[in-house]
Amino acid sequence: MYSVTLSQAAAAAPSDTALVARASGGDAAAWRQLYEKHIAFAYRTARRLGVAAADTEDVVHDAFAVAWRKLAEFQTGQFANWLYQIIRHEVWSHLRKVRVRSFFTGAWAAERADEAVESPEGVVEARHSLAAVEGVLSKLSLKKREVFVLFEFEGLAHEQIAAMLGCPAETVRTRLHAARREFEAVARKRGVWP
Amino acid sequence: MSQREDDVAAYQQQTANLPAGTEDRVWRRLQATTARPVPSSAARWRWALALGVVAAAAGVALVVRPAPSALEPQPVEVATRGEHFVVQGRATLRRTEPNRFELSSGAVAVSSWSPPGPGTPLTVTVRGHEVTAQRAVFALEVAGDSVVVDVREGTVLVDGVAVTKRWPASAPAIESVAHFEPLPEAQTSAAVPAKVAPVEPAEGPKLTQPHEIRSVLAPRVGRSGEAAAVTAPSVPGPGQGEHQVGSAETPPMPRGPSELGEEGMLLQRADHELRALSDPTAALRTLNETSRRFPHGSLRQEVALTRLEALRVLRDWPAVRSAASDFLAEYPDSERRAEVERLGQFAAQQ
Repeated sequence: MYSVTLSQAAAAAPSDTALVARASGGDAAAWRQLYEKHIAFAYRTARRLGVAAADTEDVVHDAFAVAWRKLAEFQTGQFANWLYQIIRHEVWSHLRKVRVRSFFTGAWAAERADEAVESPEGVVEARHSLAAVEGVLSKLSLKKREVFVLFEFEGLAHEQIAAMLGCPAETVRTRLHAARREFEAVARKRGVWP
Repeated sequence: MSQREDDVAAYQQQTANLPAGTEDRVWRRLQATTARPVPSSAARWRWALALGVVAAAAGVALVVRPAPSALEPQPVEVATRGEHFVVQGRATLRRTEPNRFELSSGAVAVSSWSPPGPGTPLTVTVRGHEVTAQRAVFALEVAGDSVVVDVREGTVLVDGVAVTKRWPASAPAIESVAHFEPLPEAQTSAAVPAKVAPVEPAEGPKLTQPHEIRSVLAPRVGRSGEAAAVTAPSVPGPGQGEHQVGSAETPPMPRGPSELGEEGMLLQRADHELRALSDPTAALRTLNETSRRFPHGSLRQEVALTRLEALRVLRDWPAVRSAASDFLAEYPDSERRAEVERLGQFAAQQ
């Protein structure tokens, strides 16, 4: 889980900061180390926030490109939290584009796909697949989904999530509670896990 | 473990690991991006500052940008009186020296009555031409690329070339008396000083207005004194005086004022005071001086007509009646008899 990675990073706390400082000075090796440390988290997060597998590499690349461009702006705090803000922005931009694109070109296809999942055969088939969880998560709002993902899948504490999102921990708790209820409701409505 | 927990765990497991080769593929793509050095914070601030300055300058330029109509100098009312001259009109006029002006646009009427001699002549620079006058009455107008010089009395030097109107060599009738058209009411209301404020329009039949005579000065294309720079009058009319145009072959010879010219100049000055300056009292003073100096002058009839007009503007009806009666007695065959009779009858009814 990423909390472990964060703990490890915290143990070698100066390393991220030092790596960023060196990378800002043009040290390619330091940048490579930063990349290697966080590429898995970036990929995982993008994927779980709703980016399709085929598009995840693009989103991750864009996020790291932005991170490189803005590296000099990183001052203090956890590099992972700062990177998450960039990933989150890139994911949301990507999903917005996908929604717009599907509205104009793939609305009919998306509707058909939903119908397939809603059908008894689809439910039986999806129950044992990745699509079951993915389908339910896709119905959550982005804000609820990210809290749900970071808490349930990444195993982060409320305070860590709050630091990542830049909001109070209480807000995280509220969103998480709402996300869980919505997750249950959507699953029940779809007939998944009766 | 429930089915749901199994699925969630499976999802977590399947999305936890980076697919094989992903790290290298993304890194290779990033190479192109990271090949260039990261811009330093200072450099980014410098760029931001420069952009901010440019944006602020553009904003300021947009905000303080004057209205399109104000981009070009707009003619304004001018009424300047010097010791020996009056410049009046609707023009963009700049005074560079006490006796020197620069006309950018619009039209001005100039009356210069300084005596010939060592005194400083009045000079108006317009579109690179120098118009110099002593004892002359003329108008200047910037019309597109051309400059119109309308010499109404005396001699004017345009770039050293004399432009003279012999007045009133062939037409002593008052119709040929050049005058300054009074500015329209709307143009004379604000900027004209109080001393030249327009008087209330007078009642009664108005006497006929004289014509204008103009000479056209083409746009300057070469050195001053080129013959092509000054052309003959464009609109010669019956009963008008004629212009004498100097050239490079005929050196300018400003004509000295004759006795007739003196009388005519005084009459012109009175006419200017009456119509352009709207000052009938001053016009009457000038007319009285004209009558005193030239009791048998050739322009007595025109003097009498101008006096009638001044009295009409002053609404001095008894004086108008008396002057009309004197005029009709003295000039029973005048072409203006009918007009003067009508004016006299009108004055008698007041």
